[in-house]
Amino acid sequence: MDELPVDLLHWLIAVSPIALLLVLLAVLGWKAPQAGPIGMFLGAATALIFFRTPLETLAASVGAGVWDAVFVLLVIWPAILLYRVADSAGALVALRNGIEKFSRNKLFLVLAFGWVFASFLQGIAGFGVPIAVVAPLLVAIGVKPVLAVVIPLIGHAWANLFGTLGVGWLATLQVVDLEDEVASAAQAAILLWVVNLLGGLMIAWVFGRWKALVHAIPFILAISLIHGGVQLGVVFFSPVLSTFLAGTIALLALYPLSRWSRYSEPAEEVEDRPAMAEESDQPEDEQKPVMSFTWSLLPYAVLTVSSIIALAIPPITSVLGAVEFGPSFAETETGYGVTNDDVAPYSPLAPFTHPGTFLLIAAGATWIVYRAKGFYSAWRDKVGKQPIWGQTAGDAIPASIAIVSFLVLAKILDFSGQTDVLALGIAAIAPPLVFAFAANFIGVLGAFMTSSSTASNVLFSQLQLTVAESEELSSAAIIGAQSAGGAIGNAIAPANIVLGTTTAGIIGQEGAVLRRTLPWAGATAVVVGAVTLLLLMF
Amino acid sequence: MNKLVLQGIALLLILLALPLASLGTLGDVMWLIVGSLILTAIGGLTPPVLKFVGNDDDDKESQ
Repeated sequence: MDELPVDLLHWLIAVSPIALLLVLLAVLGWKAPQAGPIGMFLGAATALIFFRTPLETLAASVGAGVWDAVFVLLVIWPAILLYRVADSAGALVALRNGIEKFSRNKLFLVLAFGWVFASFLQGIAGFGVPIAVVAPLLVAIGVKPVLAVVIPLIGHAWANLFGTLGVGWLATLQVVDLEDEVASAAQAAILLWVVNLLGGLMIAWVFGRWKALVHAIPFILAISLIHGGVQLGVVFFSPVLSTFLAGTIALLALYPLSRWSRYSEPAEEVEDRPAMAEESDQPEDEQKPVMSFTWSLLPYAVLTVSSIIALAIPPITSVLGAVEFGPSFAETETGYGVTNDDVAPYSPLAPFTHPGTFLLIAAGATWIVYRAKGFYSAWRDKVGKQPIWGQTAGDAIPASIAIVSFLVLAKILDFSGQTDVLALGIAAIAPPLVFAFAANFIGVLGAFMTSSSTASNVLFSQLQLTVAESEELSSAAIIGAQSAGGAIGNAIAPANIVLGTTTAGIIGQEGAVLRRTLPWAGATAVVVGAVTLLLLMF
Repeated sequence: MNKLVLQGIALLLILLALPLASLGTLGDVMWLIVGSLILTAIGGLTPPVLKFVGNDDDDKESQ
């Protein structure tokens, strides 16, 4: 049997579905539900024609991709439902009015929601929950919808490896045998600190360019010290709790920071605010809310408390996580000897610890309480009928098609060996230090393809380790770089972008979002590459 | 049939491909394997086809 062809022609063929997707989304402005299937079809065609993939393997990859997508759909549907349940009672209007009494500094609020709260949510719940929840909150406080998606995408990225109570890190340990787990975790934490700091700086820049950056610097440095410093410190003892603790402490730090007059009063010197919708874009006839600020916080409070109870208390997590199920697939192989083991079950789903369950609980509890308090009828009398279920399906169906097609494409590329060709090709031509610099780019690629930093690590960690060992590079630094790249890649991950555009009410503008997050991801990957070289030297 | 209903059917077809693919590969049943791929193809083709033949008025992005 011939070996997997790692040559320029096959590398270009393997990258073509990803390149096509980028062109359709970012250049031609196609909507994600239209672009995703085209990329999927091209990936299937290249697999069948150029990578000797039989129909059985293709079908198994389709099935696995659909199942991977189910994980994300179980977030997106409840997230949209939660948004509609809250919005139909006027909760987002009440939330915005209440927040403006808490702090009148819009830059502070954008950083608080888009960076600090998004990071906190990533600490406890993954699968895009921070983007799905925070994007509409930012719209509610007056951020332009496209940027309301861009900001949490960038703000939450650093928290992906050790977030969700360490799921990404634990998955990495399952696929690679690390000589020194603590050193690898620490080096990853150092690189993720860089991602965190660059995320905070970028959000301030997006808000109001240099003047916003200067105004926000003390805030950014304080929060980054907490995020990065606590994560790095705790990672030596408990990687799985490191991001959760860092995110929680930073969230609590918002209160004293908001009492500082610099951040409680409007930032008058920041005159130019490209992130904010014009005052005239706010509806002039906006009605007074029918609920208090406290009631408007109900959905987020229920979400946070239920997630913490279920996921941060080990005995409860153990009981709830015992129920799991998933499909099974037989072993498959391609004509180039790429084997995919039989799995029974494949990627089992634990419904009672899945973030979608907590979103559903939050939506259900909110609906019951708001209905009992009469908020729906009161808001309907002011603004007219606000359908919940119809709007939810209308938003979620197109987004679901996009997400399914992206993840099926990722699995097709994986099962057919095209993913291996991409990574091996980079490793083959790069001298050791160039490879070390590029290692995090491979992680970015993996997260872009799969919309998951966990999946990126599962796909590429072993390959990265193998190359690191053959090039006599520090495996801790290279795995750290892979992990940091996977985190960065979440900011450009198509499924995450679709989550955000859907809950922000701008489905179809995925290209506009990607055009803004892609430069940040690229620049951050360059800096992380440089820091990786420093880590290798010292 | 409106666009949303067609998209909903497309999504259901793709989701239905999952059990067919699983059963097909486990039992090495070719018609299930081919069936799963056909369902995925039909479901996947729907949104691009709707883009070109439907009234996709909101195709242009707004900034």
